[in-house]
Parts: sequence; structure tokens; C-alpha cells
Amino acid sequence: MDQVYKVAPQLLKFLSYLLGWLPWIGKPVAGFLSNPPAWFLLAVAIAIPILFVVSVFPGIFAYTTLVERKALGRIQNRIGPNRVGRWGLLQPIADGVKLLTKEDIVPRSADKFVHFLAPVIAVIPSVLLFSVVPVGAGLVPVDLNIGILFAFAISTASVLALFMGGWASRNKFSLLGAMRAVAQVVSYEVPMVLAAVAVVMAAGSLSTLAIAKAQGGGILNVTHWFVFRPWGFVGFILFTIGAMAESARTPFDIPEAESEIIAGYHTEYSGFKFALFQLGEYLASIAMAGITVTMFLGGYNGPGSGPGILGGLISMFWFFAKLGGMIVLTIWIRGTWPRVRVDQLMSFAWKVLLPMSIVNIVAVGMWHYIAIRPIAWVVTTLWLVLWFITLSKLAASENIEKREYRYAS
Amino acid sequence: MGFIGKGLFEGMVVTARNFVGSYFDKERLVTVQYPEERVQVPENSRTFPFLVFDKDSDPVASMRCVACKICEVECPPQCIYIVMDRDEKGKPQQRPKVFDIDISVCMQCQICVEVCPFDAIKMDNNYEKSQYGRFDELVEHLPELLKSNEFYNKIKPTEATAVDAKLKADAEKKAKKAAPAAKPAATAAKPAAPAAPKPAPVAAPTAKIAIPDDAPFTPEQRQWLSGYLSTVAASGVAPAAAAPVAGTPAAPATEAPAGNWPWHDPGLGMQRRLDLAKETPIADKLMAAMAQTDCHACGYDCRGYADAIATGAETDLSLCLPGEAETANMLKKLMQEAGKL
Repeated sequence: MDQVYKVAPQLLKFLSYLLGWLPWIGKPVAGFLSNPPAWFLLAVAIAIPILFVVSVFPGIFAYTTLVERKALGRIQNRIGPNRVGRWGLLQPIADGVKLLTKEDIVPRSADKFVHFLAPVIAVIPSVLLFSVVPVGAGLVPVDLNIGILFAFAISTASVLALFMGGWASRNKFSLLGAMRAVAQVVSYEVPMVLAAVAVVMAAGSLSTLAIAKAQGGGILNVTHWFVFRPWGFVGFILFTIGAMAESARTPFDIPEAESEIIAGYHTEYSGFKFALFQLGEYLASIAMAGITVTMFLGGYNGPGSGPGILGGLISMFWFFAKLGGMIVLTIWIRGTWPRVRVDQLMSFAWKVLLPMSIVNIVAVGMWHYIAIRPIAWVVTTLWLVLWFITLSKLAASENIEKREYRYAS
Repeated sequence: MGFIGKGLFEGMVVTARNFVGSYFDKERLVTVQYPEERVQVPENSRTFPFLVFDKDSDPVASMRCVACKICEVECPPQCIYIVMDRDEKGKPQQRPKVFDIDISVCMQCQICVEVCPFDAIKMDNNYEKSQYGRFDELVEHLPELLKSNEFYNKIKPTEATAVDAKLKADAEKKAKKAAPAAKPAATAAKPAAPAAPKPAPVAAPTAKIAIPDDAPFTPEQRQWLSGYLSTVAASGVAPAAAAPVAGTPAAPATEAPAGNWPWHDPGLGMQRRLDLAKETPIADKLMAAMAQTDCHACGYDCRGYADAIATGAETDLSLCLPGEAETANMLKKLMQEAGKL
């Protein structure tokens, strides 16, 4: 916001130049804009990031749904949507119009107020998440010094909306889905936060902007990304798994497992309320992808990124390229992996991810205190690999009894 | 080499291969976008029958169908309805006036195609037959059923070429046969001509039951009804009435419109028709043995063929295609009984 505050006067001057040609109101408006009072400048500086977040990310959401449908189609050797516009480019608009014109059904025995409130609350945390995601060098809507903490606190709040929706619908499938959602999000929150702790320790700050800045430098602004550290690599995988579980993406989409419980918590939602749930879920997914990029994939850092207008634009390009890469990865995973079982989900979170994230924190400590880098590389890698093997053996060593079929042959 | 999660990555590789492959490999992307693209249906696929005509300039005149009603009789679900076209005098026109196929009843068995001696009815492969109603909309009439021979050649090239070759060979054979036969036929025709009217007399006057002119019947119904009533009357009064009339003047009988012969009804069985013609001259008996469809497959109508056999102008007894072997055998038997063979 500080940067926006600096740029705002120039922007307003440009705007006044444009509007000066208008008859009657042109002159006074241009005069006001070229010499704005402080409060107006502040309002503009606040409005610009909000407009950015509210316009750009839902747009990304809309086209993510299209890309997802096209990519899943191609993975399954289908064509995917191609009826509305070239390559189906107008499909998101058609979907929106369709959902807006659909009947809004509220079950008779539902808690109507909570039923109405749930989809609204589902969107709010997802939008708020973007307030701490730096989209370019210094370009973050709010540079909170506890940005990461804020992100986790807010993202967990979305589970409230899921449970409200499931509970207020008064439908057994909705409630089952909501219970699963709560269990899942609460379980995966723990390893995810612990994976983030490793990054916070390495960067020495909870601010997302500071974490992104800490990954700059090196060869082409690339080699210092945390993902290219042993602990960072492990943390990246842990955090990605956690983020996917948190936003109920496919291998972990048991809250809305359509083959088991219809649509889970949004079974009883139709029309635009359903769209809002979908919007909230996708926005959360995109925001978590953004935070993953910021924490592990170097954020906005990339070849050519840096301060200044050109560097800023290049840094934005890198951020959105990486964000797109993460989105494509989640879509690819969705098109490939089957859904995990509820018990597998829980045992995976508590028996593998949680110990592994704690081991990872220890690895960061080693990395910090072993001053000679090659030795640090060897030691942390060995430590992590050995623990990974041990944990996976332990997790798999639940002796699976060979089933004996006594009556069937 | 195995490590935990190997299968997951192998799965990712498989889906990636499918994703990329669907852009380059036509074999993978099998979707046919229906209204714009259509699957090429196999040549031998079939849906519903259509009627073939030869000349685009006049489909009705050049249609191959002669309204012999073989297909109507043979059709297992009885989805075909044919009414022969007649001019004002009631003379058969060798083509159907009405030809309806109810495609909601048709079971696409192709039996009509197999029994048609004229290659007039063939199976289409158009599968886009949906309509907005279940009743009249699903009945196809003559104008929709008529398709050109070029169309037939287009949808089923192999089959149509064979049919065309066969028709051409038949036509050539007929022409060859007609050329040398022309002279003897001409000479034979002279003695035959006066002979022809002779067998015409019928039990008509007695058996005739007047249907009032204002009775609400169509000509076809009237014709059928009069034929039916006369058979009823004939079976009742035949012994007394039929014999004396046998010698009625020939001239008016030949002028009489078709239908004065009580057996001239394709709906009757062979035995019933012969019973009706029991007391009549040989030519009428022969005619009663025909299939009564006036299909002209033999080159005559039923009356003419019977007369031609009776006079000896026609020696081939196997020309009645609708009557099949039954008619041919019966004609042979009748001729033997009459001592003419």
C-alpha cells in the first residue's frame, strides 16, 4: 500500500488529464484530481488494492474453472467446453448467468438465516487472504508484520462457513460433509502451520513481504528460493499437501465427495449461493497457492524482478506465472489421483505429515547453526531422508492382514 | 527402483501423456461433435426403407415400385400400407397412389427389400428421424419415401452398383427376347386377339349386389366391398346361378371395370379364389390362380397374363412374382387339367 500511496498522485494527475476534456464537469474534476486533499489520496490508495483483489482474483477463479474443465477433459481424452465462444472462452460468463438465473432453493426445515449467511461467510476469508499475498516487488495490499499468522487464522475461519452451511441445511449429507470438513481442516492446519514455521525461522519474519524478499538474490534471483533447500523442499511438499487438504482439492475432497455424500456441505445450495461456495473454495485454493509461492517458490522473485516500474512488472509476471503453475499442478493432481478415505486422511495427517513437519523444523535449526553450507546440505538432507523412510515405514507397518476367504473360493 | 509414492508419479505421467496426446493423436480424441460432424455410417448399416426412382425429372413416373404389395404382405409388423394408383376408368397405373411406412412400427428387418422383385424398395441409413409427435409425424408418405437412384448409389455404392448392373442386364435380356419374338408374337396375336374376349364372361350379373351410389365409400372401398359381397353371394347361389350365365356376350365383359371378377382380390387365399372360379372357363381359372395384385411383373395385368397363357401367347408360367411358386405350380396344374400342356 505504501507504494500505491506514492504512485497515487501521478495516477490521479493522469486521470485528470484524461477527464479534462469532458464538458462542464471536466474542468472542476480535473482540478480536484490534480491537486487532491490528503484524505482523498488515502482513499484512492486504499481503493486501488481492493479493486485489484476484487477484480483480478475472481477473474482468475473464473478462468481457472474453464482451464480446469478443459484440462480434465484433455486428460480424459475429451475436448471440454468449446460451445460458448472460441475455445469456450465465454464459458465462465455463461456459467455465471446460468447460476444467477437458477431458482434459489432453501429447504423448508433449514435454519434460513444461517443458511443464507454461510455462502457469504465462505467468500470473505478467501478474499481477505489476498490482503497479505505480495503480487510483485513491494506490491502487497497490506504489509502486515504477522502476515503468515493472519493468513492461517483467516483461512481456518472458512471452515466455519462450511459447518454453518452443513448444519443449517438440515440434511444428513450436508452435515456429514460439514463434519468431515471440520475434521479435515483442523487436522491439516497443524502440519501446515508447522511447515510454515520452518520458513518463518529461516526468513526471520512473519511478514509475507519479508519472506519473499529473503528469497531474492543468488543466480538470476532463483537459487535462493526456499524450495531449493532440503528443508524448503520438504516444507513445500508438506505445505502443498496441507493447502490442498485445507481447500478441499481433489485427493482430499472428502467434504464434498460426490460419490459418497452427494455434494457434502453444499448439497442444499443452488443458484448463486452454490456459486459463492464454489467461489470461496477456489479463491481459498488460489490464495493458498499464492502463499505457497510466496513462502517456497521465491514469491515474486525471478530473472529480472526488482524495484522500479519495469522490475515491478516483471516481478508481477513471475508471481502470476508461478501462481498459474501451482493452479495447473492442482488441476493435474485432480485429474490423476483418487480420493483418499477418511481414515487414510486422518492417519496420513497425524502419522506422517505432523512428525515430518516437526523433523523439518529441526532441519532448519541445523541449517541455521551449521555454518559451512556443504556440510549443512549433507546433514539436513540425510536427516530428512532417514526420517522420511522411517516414518513411511512406520505408517505402512500397520500389519495389513491378508484376507482369507473362507466361504468364497 | 521403488520408493513410496512411486505409483502417484506414474499416474501423473499417464495423465500428462493423455493430455498432450489428445492434441496430437487423432486416435485419442475420439469425440465427434455431432451436429457439425457425423460418424461415417457403415455402408451396410440400415434404418428405414425408402423407394427408389430413376429420373430426377419425374420421380413419380420413374419410380420402380409397381404397387404389387408383396412387401405389404410380407412385412412382419405390417407397417406398410399401399394403395395402387388407377386412372378414371379404374385401370391400374403400375404405381402406388398411397405408400405409407409407419416408422414407429417398422422393425428395420429389411424383409421388404429382400422380397421386392423390382429393386424398388431399399434400406436408408439416415438415423435422424426424430419428430415432435408420436403418431402422424412418424408415418412416412410417398413424397418423403421417394429417393433417387443417385442417392442410393451414394449411400450404398457396392450394393447399388450390383443392383444397377442386374437391372441393366435384365433390360437387355428383355429387349433381346422382345426383338425376335416381335414377329411371331405379331402373327400369333392375330388369332389370339379374337380369342381373348372369349373367356371373359363371369358370374357377374347374378352375383352382383348393388351398392347404393350414395353409400359413403371411397372407390377403393366400394371396389373391395363389391368384390367381397359378390363372393359371399357367389358361394351361396353359385351352383344355381353361375352356370347359365357362362355364355354371356363377350364384348361387355371385357369393357367391364376391374373388380367384376369375384376372385380378383389379393386378400383371398388361393383355394378360395379357385373355388370362386370353379365354374368358369380356363382363362378365369388361370386368373384366379394369380396373386391378384395387378403388379405387371409379368408384363401384363392379372387378366392379361391369364388370357395370354390361355391363348398360348405366353408360355412361361413362372412370371407371377407375387404369387411365387404357389401360383406357378397351380398354373401348371390347371393347364395340365385343361389338357393344354
